[in-house]
Amino acid sequence: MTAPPPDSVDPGSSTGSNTIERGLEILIAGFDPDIAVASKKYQQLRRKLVRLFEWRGAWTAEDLADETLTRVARKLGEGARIDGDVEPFARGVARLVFLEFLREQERDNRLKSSSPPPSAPAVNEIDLDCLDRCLEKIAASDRETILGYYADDAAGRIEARRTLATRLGVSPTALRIRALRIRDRLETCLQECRASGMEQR
Amino acid sequence: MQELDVSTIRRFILGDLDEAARRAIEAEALESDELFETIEAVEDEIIEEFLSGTLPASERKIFDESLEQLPDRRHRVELVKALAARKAGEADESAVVQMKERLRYANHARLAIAAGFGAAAITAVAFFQVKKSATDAVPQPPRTSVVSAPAAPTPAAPQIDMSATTSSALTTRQPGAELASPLKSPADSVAASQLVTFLLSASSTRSASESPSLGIDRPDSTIEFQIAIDDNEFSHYNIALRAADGAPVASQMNIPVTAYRGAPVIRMRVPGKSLGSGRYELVIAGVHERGTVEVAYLEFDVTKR
Repeated sequence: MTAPPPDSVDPGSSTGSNTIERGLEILIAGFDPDIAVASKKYQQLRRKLVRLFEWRGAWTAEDLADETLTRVARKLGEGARIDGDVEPFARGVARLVFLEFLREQERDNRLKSSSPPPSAPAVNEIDLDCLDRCLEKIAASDRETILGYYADDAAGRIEARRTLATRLGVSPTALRIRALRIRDRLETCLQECRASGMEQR
Repeated sequence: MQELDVSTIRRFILGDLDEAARRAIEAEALESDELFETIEAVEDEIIEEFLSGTLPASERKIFDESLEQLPDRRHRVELVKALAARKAGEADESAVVQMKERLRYANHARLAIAAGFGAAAITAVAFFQVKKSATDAVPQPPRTSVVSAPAAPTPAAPQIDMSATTSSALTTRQPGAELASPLKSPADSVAASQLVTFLLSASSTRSASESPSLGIDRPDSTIEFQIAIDDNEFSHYNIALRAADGAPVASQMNIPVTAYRGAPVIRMRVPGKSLGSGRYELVIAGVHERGTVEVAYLEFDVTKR
């Protein structure tokens, strides 16, 4: 039995970094005893929050997602009682924090900042080098899937994907989900590659 | 929560839903992996429509503006574009191989295509010019030959498997008088041998009576094909040269557009010794920035003297 998440949170409360650290430990341990599995679940929740903020038009979506999770951790660190799985609880708290955040952002007009977003580099030669490296890192079958998925132009793509799905023995929906997951991994890899490239300069 | 239709999800992604509906979807997406993945898939569709130019104007405007605001989305769009372009690049090479195979059945294909597209007419104009190199041991005056083919019905070019179509940009160029004048081609780098510049327009010429001809006097000649294009709507070009029986002669990828007397041309050089007397075909693939390809064909005859 999972305790219902609190009806509201106080985003402004601060009880120090120890509280947040303790809360994060509770959060991670609550996701799964296996740290690798727990980490994966944490990243999934973070990723969802990032995308939700992005769909809200927030160009600092990653920062906002991290801030949301920090507040979830703080809540847990403050001793919020959980009966049962921490995961649904964390999601529930995250949802409330997310809504709370939106209200704040709207008040402050920070969500869609009037200042220009930081310029992001287009996929230039460096990025294409990164892409090559990232494609090399993934399994050959994944590489074939992602390149096959985006092959062909709009007109031929439907048929090409149907053929690819048949060849892989999966449904078109499963192929789509698989391709998106591979693309997510490529995105993460590209970010890391770009960051390491910037550090080297 | 009721199952959401794609239209509602699209509006959600584009920020076109009222606050209550938006919050309901956000709450559900946080709980439901299935809904979350569906939203991501719909966003992916929007990206693909955006890149292929099929996104409705009203949505395109919103999406376009969002790219200014959302660097992560912009990266995602660029990644999809890069993946599609990468695959298209690989496909270009295989397409050339496929075309080489296809020409083995060229006569059959032409008959079939001619029956289907007998009304199609493509005007072909080709210019032919020979320029002796400056260091030629026995200087000869530049020889200029212009072969103008009359407008005549010709079969439409067959489409290659990757949805190739003959582009207007590749088929409508009518080279102006400036291109018929003696060429001062970049021959210096091959000064040790004779440079033969063969100037063509990117038009399909498949009728035996229309093909421009190229005379090669010396075996050590280098042939430079200069193909005039109508405008520069492609990021680069790939060219395959093949004999009438489909045998590959030469190919070159990633050819940029250069200017000749202000007119855009693409160039490819081959050693004269690789050509014998007979008919040849150039397969010219224009590659768009987004990775799609359009193809034109050029036939010509070679006479070795």
